[in-house]
Amino acid sequence: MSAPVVETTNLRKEYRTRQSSVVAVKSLSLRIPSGGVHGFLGPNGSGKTTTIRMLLGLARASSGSMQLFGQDVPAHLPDVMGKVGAIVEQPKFFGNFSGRKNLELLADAIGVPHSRIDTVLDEVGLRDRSGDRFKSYSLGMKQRLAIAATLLKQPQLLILDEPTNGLDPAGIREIRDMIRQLGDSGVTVMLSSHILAEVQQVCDHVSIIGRGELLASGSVDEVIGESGSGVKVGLPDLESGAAVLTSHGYAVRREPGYLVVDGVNDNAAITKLLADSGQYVSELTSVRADLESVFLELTGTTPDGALAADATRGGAAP
Amino acid sequence: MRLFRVEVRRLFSRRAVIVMMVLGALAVGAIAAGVLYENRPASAAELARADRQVDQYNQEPWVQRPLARCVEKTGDVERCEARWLLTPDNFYGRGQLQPAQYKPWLISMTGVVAALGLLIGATFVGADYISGSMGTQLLFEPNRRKVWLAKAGAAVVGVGLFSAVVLLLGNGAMWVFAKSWDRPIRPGLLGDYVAAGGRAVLLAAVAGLAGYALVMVARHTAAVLGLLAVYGIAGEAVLRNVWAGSEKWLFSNHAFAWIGGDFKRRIYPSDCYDGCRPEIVHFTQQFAATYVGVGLLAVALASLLVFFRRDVA
Repeated sequence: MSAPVVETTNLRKEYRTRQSSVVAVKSLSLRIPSGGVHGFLGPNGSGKTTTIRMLLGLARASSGSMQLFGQDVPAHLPDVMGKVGAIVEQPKFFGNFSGRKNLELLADAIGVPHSRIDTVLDEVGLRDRSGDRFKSYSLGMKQRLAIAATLLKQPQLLILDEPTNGLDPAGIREIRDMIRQLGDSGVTVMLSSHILAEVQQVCDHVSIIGRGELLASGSVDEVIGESGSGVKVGLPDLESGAAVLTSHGYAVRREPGYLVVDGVNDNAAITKLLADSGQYVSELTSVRADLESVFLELTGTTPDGALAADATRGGAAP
Repeated sequence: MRLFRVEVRRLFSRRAVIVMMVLGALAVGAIAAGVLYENRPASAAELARADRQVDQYNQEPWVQRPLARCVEKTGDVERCEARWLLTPDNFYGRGQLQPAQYKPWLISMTGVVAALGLLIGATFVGADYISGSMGTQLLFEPNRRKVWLAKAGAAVVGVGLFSAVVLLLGNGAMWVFAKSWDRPIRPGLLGDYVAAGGRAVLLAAVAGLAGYALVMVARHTAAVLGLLAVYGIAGEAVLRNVWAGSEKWLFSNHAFAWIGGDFKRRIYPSDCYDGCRPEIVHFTQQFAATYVGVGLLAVALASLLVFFRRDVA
């Protein structure tokens, strides 16, 4: 794995009030390698945005350490921030200024020539409306302007917190394609999103956090693979079938009306084994976890509060 | 310097700031116009009318009778006429513009620009917090000390420029009219006037910085306005009536001393109704500068410290 662009070690953030304290990030150790698109996933309140805000110097960490491009932050944030573009939560600009004026002020603050503004406005398709006031923009246009602002710096690391919020399907696709292109062009993109199917499509790596801690991290395939794949087997006599499979070393779970053989994707071997013992399968389906089921299982946020246990369920959480 | 220029541009691009500056210019213009109107020279028609009125008045029996008695008794006609007869001045109904007496109108004008300067400084950074764009700005310049200084500089320079222009126009008009009306101007008056105007501009700039620094702590313009309203009502209005000793510490007294120079004020004890001896308090320009300066420094340091440690949304 290449040197990490983002690294946190035992990062903790605690909000204290007079009566109580709330731990937003408990002890997060995270590594985001250079290049590609890295999904940063977690349910609401898991500490994603707080982590991003701490990395960007908008919030102070209670303890732990953080590095961007190998430099300690926030101490060296001014040295590395020129390489970092970020959108945190909603796009925030002056409502009465035009989109262009907002970009001009930001460009002037970092000494970027105004010619770059037209380039980034073209990139996000907002040039025609750039003279309009920011407050007259739709949410999608506001998101585009925020992305344009991040591109002003020609960043090497792009941190995007829910960048497709409020966009219509065409807008989501456009932004997704843009993120993919940026990832392919060598920019490291850290993408925080709730749209897991989208993350699965666009991301090379993912990190899943829950209750302020890292639950899983790696390439998308690794994370899904950790959760496992299996085979759903329907049989007239589940008891006997389970005994046969178990005696041959398979991990078998009994579900209502069928068996699930975990960690296996060789359907032919199972069919042959059962047939040889006089058991004929009535149903045989490969089940492979997707990112959503892994996410729900790891974070314990299934709709009914229980871990996912339907036919799409993979193996146990690591 | 680059960030400072950006902040100055941001300040002068804000509609609320422009509106307040225009309102300030109008208010100062209204003060100047009011003073000039109230002290304008009498016209020929007014003089003729005053002459008629004084002639008529001086012929009345209740004037002539005591005048005759006075002349009969003292033999001094001139003195008795000066005592008993009115002159046309008594019928103009207004005074003449006195350039040497510039302090009342300069202080009024300064009150306006300082109050608006405070509001401008407050709303300038209040909008950063309300819109959430403070976070966006910090993503482009994460050095908070630089950001604080650039914004503070913009507030001071912006309010200073605004007050300098407005006070120059307002007081320049007073000076031009005084010259054109041939009012007496003592030697050295212009220098005193300019120096007092400079101190007024400095006070307005300080107010701009104070407004900015307070909102950096409170994050909301409204919170600072509330705080100032409480000070205005509880401190300047109520406290000075219930506790006479508070006079020594009220900001308005020190602002007067700063602009107009040293002065004395007789302060009577609050529970005194008859026959008490007042305490005479000297308000000096030097102490006013120290008092306001220390207060400003404390607010600015608190603001910088809070901004350094604060989580920004």
